[in-house]
Formats: sequence, C-alpha cells, structure tokens
Amino acid sequence: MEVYPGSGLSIPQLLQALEKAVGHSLTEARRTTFNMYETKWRQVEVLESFNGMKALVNELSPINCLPPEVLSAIPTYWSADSQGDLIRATHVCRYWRTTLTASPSLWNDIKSGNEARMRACIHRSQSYPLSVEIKHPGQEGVLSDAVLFRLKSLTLSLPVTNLTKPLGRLISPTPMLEEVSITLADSGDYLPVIKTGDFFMLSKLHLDGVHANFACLPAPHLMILHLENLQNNPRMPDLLQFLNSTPWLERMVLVNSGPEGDREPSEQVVRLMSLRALTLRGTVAKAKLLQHLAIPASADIDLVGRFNQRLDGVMEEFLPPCLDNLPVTSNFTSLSITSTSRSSCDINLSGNQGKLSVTVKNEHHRGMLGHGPLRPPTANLCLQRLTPLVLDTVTHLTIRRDPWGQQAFPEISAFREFLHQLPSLQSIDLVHCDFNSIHALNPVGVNLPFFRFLSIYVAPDAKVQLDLLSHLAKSKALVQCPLERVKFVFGSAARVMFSDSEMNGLKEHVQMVEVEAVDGNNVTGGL
Amino acid sequence: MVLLVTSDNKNFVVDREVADRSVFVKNTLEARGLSIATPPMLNGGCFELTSPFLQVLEYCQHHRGEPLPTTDDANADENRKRTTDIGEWDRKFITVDHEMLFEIILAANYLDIKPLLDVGCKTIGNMVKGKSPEEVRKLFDIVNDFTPEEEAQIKKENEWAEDP
Repeated sequence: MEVYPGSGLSIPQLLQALEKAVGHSLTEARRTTFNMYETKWRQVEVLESFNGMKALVNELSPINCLPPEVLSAIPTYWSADSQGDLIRATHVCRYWRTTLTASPSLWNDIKSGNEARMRACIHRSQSYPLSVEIKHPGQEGVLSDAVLFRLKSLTLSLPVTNLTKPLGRLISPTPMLEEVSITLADSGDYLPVIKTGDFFMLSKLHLDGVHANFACLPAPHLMILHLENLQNNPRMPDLLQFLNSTPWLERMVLVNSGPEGDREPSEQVVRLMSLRALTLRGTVAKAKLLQHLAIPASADIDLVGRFNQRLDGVMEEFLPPCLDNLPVTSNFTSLSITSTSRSSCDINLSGNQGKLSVTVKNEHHRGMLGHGPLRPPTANLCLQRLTPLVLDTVTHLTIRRDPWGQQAFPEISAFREFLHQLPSLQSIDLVHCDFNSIHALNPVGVNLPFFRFLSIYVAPDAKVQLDLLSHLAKSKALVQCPLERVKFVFGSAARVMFSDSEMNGLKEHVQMVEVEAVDGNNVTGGL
Repeated sequence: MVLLVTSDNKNFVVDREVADRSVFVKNTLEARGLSIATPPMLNGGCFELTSPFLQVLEYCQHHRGEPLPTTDDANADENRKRTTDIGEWDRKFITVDHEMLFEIILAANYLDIKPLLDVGCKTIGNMVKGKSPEEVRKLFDIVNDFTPEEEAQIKKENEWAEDP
C-alpha cells in the first residue's frame, strides 16, 4: 500500500480525511454566512422599526396633522421663482416628500436652469399642462414629443444656432399650446423661421427677431400678436392672410416689424372686429398697414414714427403721408401719432366719443441745430393733414400750451377757422391756454350747435390775477350758445378773484359752474 | 340669526352674514331652506367645531360683509395665491402658537373659509420659506425619517436644487 510520506495514511485515506475536512469547513462557512445574513436581516428589521418609530413621531407632529391637500397648498402661495424652497420642502420628511412630489400642479412651471431639475419637474408634473422656459443654450433637449403634447406656454430666448432645433420641433402636435414667446438672443445673420406649427389653440404670440411662415400658420384663437425686430417681415400679403384667420385678435403690436409700405399693392381689407389696440412702431411707411385694416371705432391706435432730421420742410414730415388717405373704416376714438425726433407732434384724434387734442412738442435739441431755435410746427399745419371726414366726427377738443409757452393757435382767426371745421363739437378743454382762445369762442361765423361743455385749466405759473369771468361774460359764445357746464381748474400758484356780479352774470348763461382748485389753491367768490 | 353647535356642545348664536363666511355652513343652511331675509330666528345647525371655533368666529365677524371669493375665476384665484402678503389685522389675528395655527387651518379647511385658509397657509409658507430642511424640522418638531436610499436620492437632488 502506497503511503503518503510523513502522514502515515494511505492516499485514499488521506483523500477521505481531506474530503471530510473540506465538508466540515463548508458547513462552518455556511453557518457563518447564514449568521451574517441573519445579522444583516435583523439589522434591517431594527432599522425599519426605528424608521417606523420616526414616522410615528412625525405623525404626531402637529403640522403633519394637516391633510395632504392643505400641505400641498402651502407652496402655491410662493412666487414662481421659489422652486428652491419647494425642493427643500420635499427634503423635510417622508410625508412632506410624498405629498409634495405627488402634487403635479406644483411642478408644471419649468423654469430655465439646471437640466436635471427641469427633467425632474417635468416628471413630477405627471400629465399636467406645462409652462416651459428655456433661456440657456443646450437645454432644448427637454422639449420631447411628450412635453410638447402637454405644453401650454413656451418661452424661448436663445442664440440663433440653438433656436433652429426647437423651432423645428414645433412640427409635433401641441394641442394645448396657448402662449408662445420666442426671442432671438443674439444678432444672427439671418432670421430663424417657424416654418410650421400647431397653433390652433394659441392665444398669445410674441416673436422677437424670429420670423414665422405666417401664411401657413392659422391661429384662429389668437388674441395678442406682438412682433418685434422682424425688419420688413411679414410681407403685406402674408400678414393680411394671417390676420384673416384671427377673428378674435384684440391687441396687435408691430415694433420694427411688418410690411414696409405697400410694395405689392393690394386692395384687400381685413376686418378685425375684436381689435382694441393697435401699436405700430418704426418707419412711417409701416403705417400703410392701416389702409388694409377695418377696425372697430373703439380701438386705440398708437403710431410712433421716427423721422429724419431735416431743417427745411421738417414739418411736412410730422404725419405719415397715409393719413391723407385714411380709409373710411378708420373711425377711431383715439389716434396718437408721435415723433420723437428733433421736432415732434402729438395728435390724439377721436371719432364719435373720443377727443382731438393737439400738442406741439419740441422736446429735443431745441436751439441746437446751429441755425437758431427750431420753430415748432403750429397745430394748424398738422391739422391740415386731417381729412374733413375725420374732423366731422370730432366731439371733444383739447387745446394745450406746450412747455415753452407756444400756443397751439397763436392767431385767433386760425383757431376760429379750425373750430369751423368741427360741426359735431360738444366740449372743449383749454389747458393753460391764453385767453385769446376764449375770445375765439365768440361764434361770429362759427356754428357750434352742439357745444355744451367748457373746461378751463389755469396754468399754475399764471402771474396775473385773471379776470376770467369778465372774459367769459363778454364772450358772445355764452349768449348765443348756452353752455350746460363751465369748469375751472386752477393750478397751485394761480390766484383768481370772482366778484358776485361777475358770477351772477355768468350764471345767467351757464347751467352749472364748477371750480376745482389744485393743491389747496385759494379761490374766492360767491360759488 | 343662526345657532351653531360645536362638538363640545357649546352653542353660538351668530348673524347669518357672519355664518355665511363659511361656504360649508352657507350651503348647509341653504340646503335646509333658510333664507337671509328670514326674521331673526334660531335654527339648529350642528357642526363639529372644536376649540378654535372662537378664533374662526372672530375672523368671520371682522370680515363680515366683504365679498367672498368666487370659485369660477381661476385667474383671480391664481393671483390671490401668488403672494405671501397678509393684511395687518389678519397678521395680528394669526399670530398664535403653532398648535392653534394648525387647528385654525384645519377648521378653515373643514368649514371652507377660503380667505382664512389663505391666511393660514401663507403664514406657514412664510415660516418655511428660505429655511433649510433641518431648520424646518426643528421649527415644527419633525424628525428625519428618510431611509438611506431616500437620503442618497435627496443628496443627489441637493446638487441641483440650489442651482439658479
């Protein structure tokens, strides 16, 4: 028998002994492992019990007696930029975390910032409509199809290279999309374009430096259109076609945007019967659009044109030439035209119930042109541009002196001539005017059958005691055209003395006399 | 007049105008066919109201006659919520200990008195705003009961929570 050297055992015996030893070791190892698992398991059990106890302690905390609907309402009182507070609140305890993360309405406002946070918010908003803002390049990836599908509001402000992709994604269905605001954050060589999109539910569209294929973008529920810096886009036919699809449009603002003149002459007139306000900013030629719009009489129209500085004929530039040919539909209650260049002129014009006020302004660079002071244009010159059709509808007139004392009508005859053109006039406000204007109301050759209300605002810097009543009493206007109401408003430095006889003289012709003093002004008299 | 009975069997006779600040009470009374024009009368309405009822009553007395928020104007609701401003009188009224504050909020929630619920929630919101989780726990006697796995997740969230 072969004996293994030094052991005294045969090899089979040795193998048997080894096998036994290994078996024993394995049994021991299994027992140890089992003990380890058991220990681990016990440890988990203890931890769970401990956590359960902590949860129990939290349940007994008075604030956690608030039901989930109340607890989840608390962050709704925070402002939209308090998302950090909301996230920290989810780290307070399990009850708060479970409650707040399960309230989708707390997470649907996705502000531009950390992309991981944006994605977490999108996840927690479940299926709630989303409001997404992207202002940092590289975050456009969050606009997946699923996000677009429940997008309610989209705000993008990105450089041109980063805008192309998200604009292309607008081809996906966006059935909830109501508000879009896209701003080009840098000045690229070209205008990024929205080629197509699902704008069926859109109510607000704001594009700044981003063009759209307006002819192919019907937006039947659009209420606010705001276009900026699109240069000469959209062209007239495209814009008119687009506006034809927007019957509920209430406000349209075109700033340095829109058709430049009427390069492609068109007879088309778009009826915007819901329009309340139209603002056009840019060159004078932009105002050509007015000739293609039928707008309700109550709409406010605000045109601001910038004109080239010219020494000769500058007055001819004050009003857009298109005003000579205002369409019949332009029955405005308020039309405001302002030029902010070296000389300027404001005209607020009203139709049936508004007012016509003329302000002559010469705000900038007065006397700095090297050729002596630039003479402000007279109101008359401006008014010559208004058509008789418009003047016929004026019911209220405001005449005011400009800050440099320039009267709107230096000549009484000019004022009278102007009044002659306003057969529907019912009321006049004279603001800081000289009393030549009052004399002008003497209706020699002026027929104002509806004139009933006169308000006189006396300048606070009036240096002399003004014998207003004697002026008025002498005015045959009051005799031939009995007024219902005369109202005086005195500035803080004006001092006026009324004598009883003057007051009685006035009351013979006026049904009601009102006196209003600004800043506790002393007004004496028998009122 | 309306008789309100709390759960601890205390009776309160209040003007109908005061009781109507609670949408719950108003609806309950209307469902029973009572009308505001009815001459002063005592009608039993048993509502489970506890100790903060006196506080709630004081609030309703002070704000009687003010227009109630309508439920159909979502925008107004949104505007009302997106502010943490509290009126002077309301601020003094709600300056109570935490337990009473939560009781008032619970009562306002149960009785459906939206303006009072607003005041309560804004007060808690102002307490929590700008505080770390640990500070909030300390303020409201809450312990951290997150599991290690949840803690790990929260640690991850913390990395981006403070990003602008």
